[in-house]
Amino acid sequence: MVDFLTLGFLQRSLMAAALTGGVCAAIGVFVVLRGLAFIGAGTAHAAFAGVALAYLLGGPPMPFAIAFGLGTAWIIGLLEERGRMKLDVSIGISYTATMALAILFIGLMKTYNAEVYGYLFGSILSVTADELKLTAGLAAVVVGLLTLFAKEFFFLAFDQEMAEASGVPARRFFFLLLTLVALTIVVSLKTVGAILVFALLLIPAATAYQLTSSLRGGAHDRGFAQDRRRDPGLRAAADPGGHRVSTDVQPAPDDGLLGGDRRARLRRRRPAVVPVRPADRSGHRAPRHGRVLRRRRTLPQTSAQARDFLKRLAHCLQRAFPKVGPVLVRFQT
Amino acid sequence: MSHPHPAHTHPHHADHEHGKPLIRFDHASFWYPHGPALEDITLEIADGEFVGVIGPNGSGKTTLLRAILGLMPPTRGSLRIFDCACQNLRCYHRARIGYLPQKRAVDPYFPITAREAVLMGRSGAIGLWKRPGKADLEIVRHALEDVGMEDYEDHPLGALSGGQQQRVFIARALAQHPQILLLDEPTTGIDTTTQHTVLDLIQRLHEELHLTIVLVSHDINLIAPLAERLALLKTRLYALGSAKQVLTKEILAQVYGPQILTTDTGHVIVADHHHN
Repeated sequence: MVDFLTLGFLQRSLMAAALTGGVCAAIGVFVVLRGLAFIGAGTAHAAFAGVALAYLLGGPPMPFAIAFGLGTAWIIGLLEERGRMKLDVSIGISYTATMALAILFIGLMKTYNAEVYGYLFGSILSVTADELKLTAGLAAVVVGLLTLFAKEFFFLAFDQEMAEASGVPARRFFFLLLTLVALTIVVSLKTVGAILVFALLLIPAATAYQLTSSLRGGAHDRGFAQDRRRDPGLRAAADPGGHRVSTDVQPAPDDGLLGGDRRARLRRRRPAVVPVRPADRSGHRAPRHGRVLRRRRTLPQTSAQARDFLKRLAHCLQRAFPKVGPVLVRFQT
Repeated sequence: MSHPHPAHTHPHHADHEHGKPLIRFDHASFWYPHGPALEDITLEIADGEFVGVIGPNGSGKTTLLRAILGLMPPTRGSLRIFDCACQNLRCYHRARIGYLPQKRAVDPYFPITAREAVLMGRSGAIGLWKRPGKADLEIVRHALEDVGMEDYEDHPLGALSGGQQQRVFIARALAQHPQILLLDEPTTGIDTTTQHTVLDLIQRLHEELHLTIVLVSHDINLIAPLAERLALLKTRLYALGSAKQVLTKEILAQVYGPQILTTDTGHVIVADHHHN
């Protein structure tokens, strides 16, 4: 049944997809947090222009794509740094200018070249062993650097000026981030194309952004808040009256499939004074002081949970699509 | 709010020397593309000194702090921090300067807790690529206690009120264990009780740890009793000296206009012309 997995080209494709998806998701976290979302689109189309020029001149596509991608990312970064132009404006200009160049280069070609369009839409089944090695090498470098300098990249994403003022070489890290983004996009071009790479950068990070409220929660260990344990004695001493500020999230009325939007969840986390629950005989302690308890969202395990899930799904659809919703509710009942 | 952490935990306390100038403006001018922000500033701030900076809106108070941070080199004249030209400030110099920027909007959905925000203040001290250790987490806890925010350490920063966020950012500046503390309108958006608590804390930090403090505020009456010297700015340095020397009717009238009055108790008030 799984014989097709023994095919070499399919193995390479699957590995390339996994590597590209992983590295784009990892760097996408910093891209989204730093507010550089559209740089993915700008750089990808600039790299495509580089590929088109390479085919026009008969040169190797990768160096041209790297030159165009890096050049565009750095120019956008410099313009933002000098404050002369807003980021979205400079990205918009570079995006359209490089795409126009790409179309010009393609138009200047004397024959139709299908390979060029492969870089626009991706051709994952034609990934070669060398390209796979290049993707794996870049993934290792990008993930390694992001892990090593997670602390600095997060400070940069939160407040670049404060990071610089606090003794972090934020400017260098900003350009390092731009360089890594450009390289990731260029190497992913052949696999997923200039359009899909933008989605791979944004969607995983944007999803995580909706579900987390802590740097530690958004991706794997990012260097902050490693030790969340606190001395329980200190907590007791801090409030001998037996009351404390708690951030425990109370069950909220269902207002959607995921229990409400992020804004509502943040409101629910506002502190409420509740009595401290002492440890019981079995040694079960009250939830840790000040710790945000998340509502666990798991797949339905029982038929009752499945029915409840479907009911909420129908409710959401009814709100989103008033005409289709009632039909679904009738179908469900 | 507890007392600031003991003096011996502060790295700059033991080798404290009084009077050695840490910040030296020498006829320094700072220009933005649209015009001058500060002109011909000559000012020396000694180690352990508490200087209050006052002036009307757009007088260059924030620019003065940004210049001390090395974020804005002078277009004319010179500025030396820790006896190093501000253009050449290195990361280890900057790590010794704590900075509380003017209150600004924080992205309410940025995934960061109060503790993580304070831990960012340790970045310069921890060093590149290194992870925070137990000592750093302890310093962060002390800093949060100093500003009375220890109960909120695991709260998302975006869920805190503006005043609470301001206290978290003060804690971030304190966690840096700075030698120079630059505070830009630290009491903005904070309720009156907390304003006094924060100002008490700043004064204690100055007295017990001998931090060099440059505090910018538009509230003259709040800053005057605290600062050893006041600098009155309006693009140029109009006056520099004790509160008594600077807050005179003549000087204030020149900078703020004739409606500014001083009372016998030394308070500065605005004449209420609406009810005349």
